[in-house]
Amino acid sequence: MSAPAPAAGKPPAMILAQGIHKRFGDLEVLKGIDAEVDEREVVCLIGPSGSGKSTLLRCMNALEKFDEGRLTICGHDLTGSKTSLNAVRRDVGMVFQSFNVFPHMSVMDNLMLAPRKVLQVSKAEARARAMALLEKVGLVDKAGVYPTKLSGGQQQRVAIARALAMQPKVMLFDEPTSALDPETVGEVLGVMKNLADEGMTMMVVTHEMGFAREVADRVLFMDGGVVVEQGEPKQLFESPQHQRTQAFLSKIL
Amino acid sequence: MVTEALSFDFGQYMPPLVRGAGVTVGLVVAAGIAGTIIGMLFGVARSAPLAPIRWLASVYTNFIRGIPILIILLFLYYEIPLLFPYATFSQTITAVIGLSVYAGAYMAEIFRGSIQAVPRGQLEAGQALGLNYVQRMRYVVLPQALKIAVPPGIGFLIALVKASSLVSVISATDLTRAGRIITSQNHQALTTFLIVAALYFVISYPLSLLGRWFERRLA
Amino acid sequence: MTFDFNAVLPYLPVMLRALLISIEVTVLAFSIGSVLGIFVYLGRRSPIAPLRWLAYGFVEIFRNTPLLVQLYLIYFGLPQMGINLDPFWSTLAGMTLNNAAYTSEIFRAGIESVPTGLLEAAGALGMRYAQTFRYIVLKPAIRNVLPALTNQFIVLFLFSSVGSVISLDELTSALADLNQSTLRTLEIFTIGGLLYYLFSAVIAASSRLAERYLFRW
Repeated sequence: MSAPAPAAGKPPAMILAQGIHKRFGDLEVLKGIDAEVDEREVVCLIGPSGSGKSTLLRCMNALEKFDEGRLTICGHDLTGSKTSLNAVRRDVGMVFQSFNVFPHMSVMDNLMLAPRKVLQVSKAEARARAMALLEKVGLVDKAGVYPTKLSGGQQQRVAIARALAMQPKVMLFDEPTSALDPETVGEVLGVMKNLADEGMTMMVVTHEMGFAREVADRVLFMDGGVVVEQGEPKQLFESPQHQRTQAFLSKIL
Repeated sequence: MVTEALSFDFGQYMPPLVRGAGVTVGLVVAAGIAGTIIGMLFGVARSAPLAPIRWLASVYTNFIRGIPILIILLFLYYEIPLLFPYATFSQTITAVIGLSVYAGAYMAEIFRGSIQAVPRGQLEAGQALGLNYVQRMRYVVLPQALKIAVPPGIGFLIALVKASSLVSVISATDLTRAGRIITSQNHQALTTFLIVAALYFVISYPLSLLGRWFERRLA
Repeated sequence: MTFDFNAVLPYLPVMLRALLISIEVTVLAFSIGSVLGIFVYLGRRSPIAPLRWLAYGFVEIFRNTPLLVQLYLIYFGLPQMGINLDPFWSTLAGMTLNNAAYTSEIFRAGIESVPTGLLEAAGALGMRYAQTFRYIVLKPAIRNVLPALTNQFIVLFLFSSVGSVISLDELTSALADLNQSTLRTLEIFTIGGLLYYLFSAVIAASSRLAERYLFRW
């Protein structure tokens, strides 16, 4: 469990979603989502496929545009079209299910690219940052290696380090372990747990219930485009209130 | 009669043919490089976020690819002296310009396809890291698109070698023109042009094999 | 330098008549060439080795040498062996052979692109080769080759312009002549180019429409 969120007179939420609707053509994927993530909180989004979890996450760094509602993240208002998307993405890091590590450059270059080109960090500083992060994720000896030579779990750890190199205020994880072999899932979840312990604000879409139970401050259960139920993991997993939540959990656990 | 038709004075006529072949190769290399650069620019423009840029680039590439190369060459051959009445133009330069315009349009289409073939996740990762459009293109998409563009690019190079034969019509001294000139002297059209064809084959076929090798390697 | 289409408009009928010749030689070369292409493809797959090599050589030679040189060989070279073909027949012969080489490759790609899994399933169901070919391979193969064949037709149409070099009175030749007589280079070649482009575009669009209606899966 990460450090507890500040209590009374608390600062504004890191992520605030109000009444989010999103349609893909005729299909409405998000049917009025309200969600909130405070600083240093770890929130896990769980639910069946097609429930809209990934879509919601992708709305948060503007990879998807939503049709109705309000969405604020790190003080950026995503509702208007005036917001600079690049500014948002400097504060928000994202880790993808398919890693999306750049295959045509070494691990080190993957980590150094964005800090140098977007944040105008010096080459030396970027390298130092990268080395520190590689040490954190346990891949120092792979700095000069090309991603195609790495296992899925290693590539995903590189992806996490790459996102962290931008020193984001929030980290979004879109099913980070779904494409991994079972043996490597643990190493990635370990990195994510350490990140949570250090106080990073995280929103994680995942099927790993063990991770959610152990690391999350709050769990949101989504189904059919709405948030059916949310609460502390102990409460949600052990005594779910809604029938749909119970049905889903009984199939998974 | 057949043996008479097949005689050919190699000593006298081979050197000019080889020189012509050299000009052909030079034209193809020049137009190939120019075409790749133009193609990259237009290829990027065709997938740009701004609609007017996309549209302009589309019009250029679609039009050039929808007309015969001979039209382009003839147009330049007649029009350039009208635009620059006091300049003396080597027809080789006209040939390079015409072939480059032609190559640019086809390479643009190849690059457009290659850019689209780069997995979407790569683009999204670039976006998520905060890279702007130019940065995403330059550091993430284009390097990967270039690799994908190699097999079709080589395929086009072969087409360019064949298209280059048409510069003989506007009096540029390439391999085909050398063949024509020699034929007017020795009246041995059959033999001369068989040798010309063989020389074109020698230039093209290795490219064919190279293209197929790349295709297997990158599959 | 002015841009005056009206001076050129009276010559439009001449251009259109010449365009018709371009279309005519293209359609003939494409039809005959495609049928020939089927035989060349069968040759490539023949169990008789010399036939395979012959077909392979035919395809490689015609794909790696320029059409112009092929036309020169037919128009200027064959007379030396007593075979005299006029510009139309020379152009047609060259374009037909060229098309045969390219379409045989298109057929090869189309037929070989049907997944072998489908063939195995058909075999497991007890279908013989001919039946498998007719019901399982043919329709998907045709759907695969339609875009490539359309493209080949358009390429062949643009190739017809090379006939102008050996005096065939098609569109490019007409444009060059008109340019000599009117000196309105920009207008003549712009309209000429547009004529070529519009025909190509119409063919491409028709093919896409046909694809959508014929192959609705």
